[in-house]
Amino acid sequence: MRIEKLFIDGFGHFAQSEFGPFNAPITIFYGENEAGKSTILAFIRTILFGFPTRGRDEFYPALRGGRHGGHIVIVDDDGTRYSIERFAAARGGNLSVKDEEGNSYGETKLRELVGHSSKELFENVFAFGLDELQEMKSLDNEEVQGRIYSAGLGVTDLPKVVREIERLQGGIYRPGGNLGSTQSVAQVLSELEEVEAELSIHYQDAPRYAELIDRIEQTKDEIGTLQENRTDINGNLDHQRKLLTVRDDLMEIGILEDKLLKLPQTFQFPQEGVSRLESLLEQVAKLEEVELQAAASVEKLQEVVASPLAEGDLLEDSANIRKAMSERARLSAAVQDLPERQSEANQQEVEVNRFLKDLGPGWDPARLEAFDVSLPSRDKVNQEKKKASEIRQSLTNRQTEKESAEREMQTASEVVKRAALELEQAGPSDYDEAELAKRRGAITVARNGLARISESNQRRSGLGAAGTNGSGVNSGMLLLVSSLILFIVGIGLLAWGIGGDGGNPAVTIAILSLAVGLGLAVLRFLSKLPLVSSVPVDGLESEMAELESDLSDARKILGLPSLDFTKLGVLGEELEASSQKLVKIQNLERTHRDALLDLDRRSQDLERATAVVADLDAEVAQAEQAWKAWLKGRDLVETMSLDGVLDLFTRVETARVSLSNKLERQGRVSAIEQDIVEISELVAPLAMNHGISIDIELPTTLIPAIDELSNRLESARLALSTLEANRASLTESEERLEQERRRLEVVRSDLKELMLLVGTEDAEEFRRLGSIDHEIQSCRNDLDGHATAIRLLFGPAADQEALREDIGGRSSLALEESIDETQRSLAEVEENRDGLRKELTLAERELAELGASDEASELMARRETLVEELSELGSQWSKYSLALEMLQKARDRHEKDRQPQVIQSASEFFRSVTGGRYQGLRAPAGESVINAVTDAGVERKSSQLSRGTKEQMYLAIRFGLVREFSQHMTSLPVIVDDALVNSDPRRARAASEGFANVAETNQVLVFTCHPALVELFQKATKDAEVYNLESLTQH
Amino acid sequence: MPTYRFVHAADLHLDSPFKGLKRVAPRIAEVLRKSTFDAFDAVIDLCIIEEVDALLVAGDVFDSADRSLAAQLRFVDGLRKLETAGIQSFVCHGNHDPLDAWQSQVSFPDSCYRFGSTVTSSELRPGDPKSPLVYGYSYPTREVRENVIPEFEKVIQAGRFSIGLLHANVGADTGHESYAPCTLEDLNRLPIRYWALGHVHTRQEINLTNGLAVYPGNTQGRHANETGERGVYLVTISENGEIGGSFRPVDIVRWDQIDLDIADFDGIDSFEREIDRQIDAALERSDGRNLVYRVHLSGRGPLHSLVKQEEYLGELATMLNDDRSGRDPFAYCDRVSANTRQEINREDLLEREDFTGDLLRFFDDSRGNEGVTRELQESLNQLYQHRRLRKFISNRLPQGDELAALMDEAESLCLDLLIGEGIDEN
Repeated sequence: MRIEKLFIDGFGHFAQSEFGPFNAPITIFYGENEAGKSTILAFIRTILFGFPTRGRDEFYPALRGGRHGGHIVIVDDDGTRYSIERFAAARGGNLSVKDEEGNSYGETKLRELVGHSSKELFENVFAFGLDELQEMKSLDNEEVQGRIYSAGLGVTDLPKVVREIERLQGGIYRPGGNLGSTQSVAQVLSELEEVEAELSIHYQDAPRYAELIDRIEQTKDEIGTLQENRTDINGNLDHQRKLLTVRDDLMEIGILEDKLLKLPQTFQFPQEGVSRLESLLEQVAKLEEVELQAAASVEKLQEVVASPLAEGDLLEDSANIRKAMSERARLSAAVQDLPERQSEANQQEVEVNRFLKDLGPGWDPARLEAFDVSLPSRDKVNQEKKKASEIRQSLTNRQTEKESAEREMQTASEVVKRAALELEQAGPSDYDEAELAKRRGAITVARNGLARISESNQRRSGLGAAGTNGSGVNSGMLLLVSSLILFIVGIGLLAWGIGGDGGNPAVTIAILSLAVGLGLAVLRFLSKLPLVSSVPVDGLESEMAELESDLSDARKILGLPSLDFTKLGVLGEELEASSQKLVKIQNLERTHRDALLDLDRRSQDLERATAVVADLDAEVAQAEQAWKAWLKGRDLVETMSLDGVLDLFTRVETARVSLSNKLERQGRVSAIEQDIVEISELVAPLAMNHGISIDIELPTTLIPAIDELSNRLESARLALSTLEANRASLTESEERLEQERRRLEVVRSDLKELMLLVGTEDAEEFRRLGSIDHEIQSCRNDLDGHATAIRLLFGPAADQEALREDIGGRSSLALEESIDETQRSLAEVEENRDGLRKELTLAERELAELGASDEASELMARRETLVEELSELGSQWSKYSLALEMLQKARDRHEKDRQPQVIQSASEFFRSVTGGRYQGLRAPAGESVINAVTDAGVERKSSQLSRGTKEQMYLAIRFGLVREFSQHMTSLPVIVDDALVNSDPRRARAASEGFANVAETNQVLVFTCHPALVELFQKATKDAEVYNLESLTQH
Repeated sequence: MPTYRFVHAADLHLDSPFKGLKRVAPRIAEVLRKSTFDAFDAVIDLCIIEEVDALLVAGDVFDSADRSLAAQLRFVDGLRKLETAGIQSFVCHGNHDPLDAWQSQVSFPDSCYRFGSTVTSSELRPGDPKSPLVYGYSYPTREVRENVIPEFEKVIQAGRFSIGLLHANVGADTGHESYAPCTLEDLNRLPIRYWALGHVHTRQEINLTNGLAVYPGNTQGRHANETGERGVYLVTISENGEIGGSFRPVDIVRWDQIDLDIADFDGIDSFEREIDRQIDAALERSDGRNLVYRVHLSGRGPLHSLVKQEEYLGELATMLNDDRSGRDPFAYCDRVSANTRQEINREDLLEREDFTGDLLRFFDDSRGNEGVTRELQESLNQLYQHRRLRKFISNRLPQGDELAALMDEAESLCLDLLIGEGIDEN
């Protein structure tokens, strides 16, 4: 591919600039600094590879106008032309690729045209800069080579990429060395190993659990065995202790058995014989004593029962005596109460008699009972009383009214008289009303006429002189000014009222002022009119004639010869006096008329009152008559008043109460007396029968008699009950005596029977035999006691002989020693057992802890986590390793596949640029170094070369790469930007020849400001074209 | 025949730690650590509540490699609890808990029938002449690589409803090691109506000609690949011999995976919102259980420059956990991983004649190239076979898909550095 033309629309300080066509193999752009070399270079790069993503607007902006960008015409290896246009925009700019026939292509075509070269590859391989060559001086050999390869690889900086991945990889794990603490794998691993170590302890948990289970079983067995031993020893110890305990019993048993052998062997004696004997003897003695006492008691009772009973006859009257006793309290109360009740009855009778006497003759208890004082009667009297009172009150009122009417009539008559007198005194009136009105009108007409005549005369005289009326003007002006002032004040007040604080009053006053002002103004206007249009003189004359006629009529009415203001004044006053007099007379007439009417009314009132009073008097008389009839009907004096009857009612009721009380008390006295008689009749016969003296007339004597009867009856009853008790006792005593006698017989029989058992009737003999029996029994009891003691310890089947053998004649001391020894062996066994129990407890605890422990589980989880972390780190590390590995392998392949060609081409260039001092370059297989080979065939490492030679070697490799890439993709233009300026003339010439060599396959564009270089390239390539940038820009 | 009911469980892996988890907060670690036990407790509770006749456990009660004593003791405790409730238990042992791994001192209750290394049978409901018979077999040692179905065939009785309890790989499931391998035809051949299987951790029902074979899966998922609900089968054998089975989840912690393509997101806000939304959905799915999830990012898009940074992924996980791991139930993000690419067209790059093109071509050539793969693995062995490390991670040497994924990541890393936004030297 080659660039044929450049069209810069706007880029840096180029605008609408065109370069080309570049047909020569080498095109030299010559110009001083700032002439635009770098701009053209940047333009080519930008059109081919795009604007930078960031800051494109600042990237060579179109300083001289034009659209930011432009296009390049290129010719591909097949000779086809394409126009590549690009203008600044997002994502590298707006691209347009077109062929000569106008077909459009996209980005893909452009990539194809540039041989899929990246911007980096283009810049690194095909662009040669001064800076790059200068920079190489500071880099060591390895770096130089890296850069060379990087350039060839088409990437920014492969060593840097590799370093970065190695850094990441090394942070996890660095192969080949020890695991350092900075490597994350080492950190996790160390933790994991710790967990693993802890966990390995727990791996023994299960075996340990099994071991513990075994151990526990075994220990339990051992404890069981020891426990059995202990039981045996304990049994032995117990046996020995028992032997020690029963040793004395066994000895005693021997002695007692010997003793028994010496006593009668076949002796029979009743059980508890002696004590039974003694008991029977004692019973006999006691029963004999009891028998004697019982016989005495029977005898004594028989005597008592035989004696007679005192006061026996009273018992026969016991029913009446009890009744008398029950009446005793009533009698006592009656006797005590009677005098007082009699006294009360007497007093009440005296009171009744007094009341009857008070009521007057003709009143006895019978009339008292029969007299009607019922509520209806009482109401009747009260109603009569009320009615009489009302009639009386009415009469009084009517009489008062009548008197009042009389008085008022008298007063009215006096008023009539006085009014008539006053009317008479006033006399007749001067004129009637019509006349007065007529005369008053004539006076007014006359006054006005006189005034107007005078005025007309003045006007008539003034019309010829001034023609104005001063007073008219003045009053007109005054009205005008007043109306104006009122207007202003009105408006002011209105404003204050509406807008300010004046309120309604101010508004009202304002409106009033405005109205008055307006009125005045109108008045002024009206009043001014006649002034403006003054009456003509001939008009005045006719007016005067009319006035004269009016005055003449008035004078006639007034009856005056002539008219003037003075006469009219006097006449007016007279007329006023006549008018007042007429009014006064009219008033007096009205008063007199009213008085006459009033007198007539009063007279009628008096007549009515008199009639009413007469009616009432008749009513009173009728009432009194009725009342008298009523009194007579009740057998009462006719003169008795209503109040008197009411008083009588009260007294009759009082007397009736008293009478009732008297009867009641008399009844009570009779009842008491009846009681006393009844009781006397009961008590008197009893007293007499039993010799108790009483006074039948004196009831009080009955009470002691009753008391005595009562006491004596009680004594008789007591004696009777005692006798009966004694009789019962006698019967009982007799039965007991008989019973005791029978018991005595029985006991005596038992005693005899007992003694006969041992063939004797003698108690002493019986006792002697009893003592022998007691001895035998005592021995047997002792034997039983010892045997029981032995059985208690050794059980019911204890074998005494065997026990004796166990003791074997040992003393107590010997037995105790044996016991001590056994105890020691027991303690030993128990100690062993307890030790094993402790072990068992510990083992069981450990077992439980093992079973319940979460530690192993937690460690396993932690281990798994750490392994996972390790694995994760492994994955990351693998990613980095794979990346490095692949980069390395790709690089190896890249070098292997491409480098031989590169080195071969580079060797040719190197030989050429070194003028044959070096025959070429060599890249040893498997090593990433390139050595120079001298003409003598000696290999020199780059570090052994001079700076200039190294620079040439670099250039040669670059040329090799250009050639290599050109063969594989497309031959892109090679751009040289001020390179070779530092080379010595010989090397520069050699380099330019190298470029001339490259130009055979690739278009070469040289940018320089050095004329020497221009010359150099022109010498190297005859067809070189030179573009003078300064002359171009000046265009 | 009366009705019989039993619970079929397998692969309890009691006390076996969660695999592939990074460090977690102690509270969560505790829940995770206890989860296999708690899930087993849930199985026991289910048996008691449902008043079943028996619990059938098809092997791998625990991992013998863990040598966990607690696992064995807790298992036996659970069986004792069943015994108290009058429920039988039938246990066979698998490759992880073969007979020789059990402590002889751990004594099983009388109500538990443990199958030995020869096929035997026992009544599901002891003393019931009509009761189905349970046939079973336990691995004597870990390595049982032969088919044991013929052993069943020898002892099987005709005429009784039969249940087979076996830990085996039926039909050569490639996801699991081939222990006691057998075929579907093997199972069909036997008059066993219900095969209570264990070994495969993913729930699976296999219809047989005359019955059913079921892998209930494990009772608690223990690593990222064991997502979804985990539990047991509640099986009813009706009076007419019909088999009805229903799955009952018992897991305590649920695993889930959130996959996001970064191409779908322009900015970080919508991206993080989507993650939040997906976590909510996962929690919804977990039905009130605790949740452990992973977020995996893939695709190419503008977010690549952000998510390629390990620091950001770590921060994202921390942020998610700060928000949700303290709650109850918790949602814990185990990790956020990314295999994303720049927004560049790889095809264009492949066309280039420079090193980048060479590199991509080389990557492509290496993929599936056994020689290069071996060579690459060899280089990785520097780490995986390190004398101190190999003990822990030698078995984790990347291979297969994992190696391929790492190759992708490595390629992406190279491209980022070679043609991306450059290297941050800091």
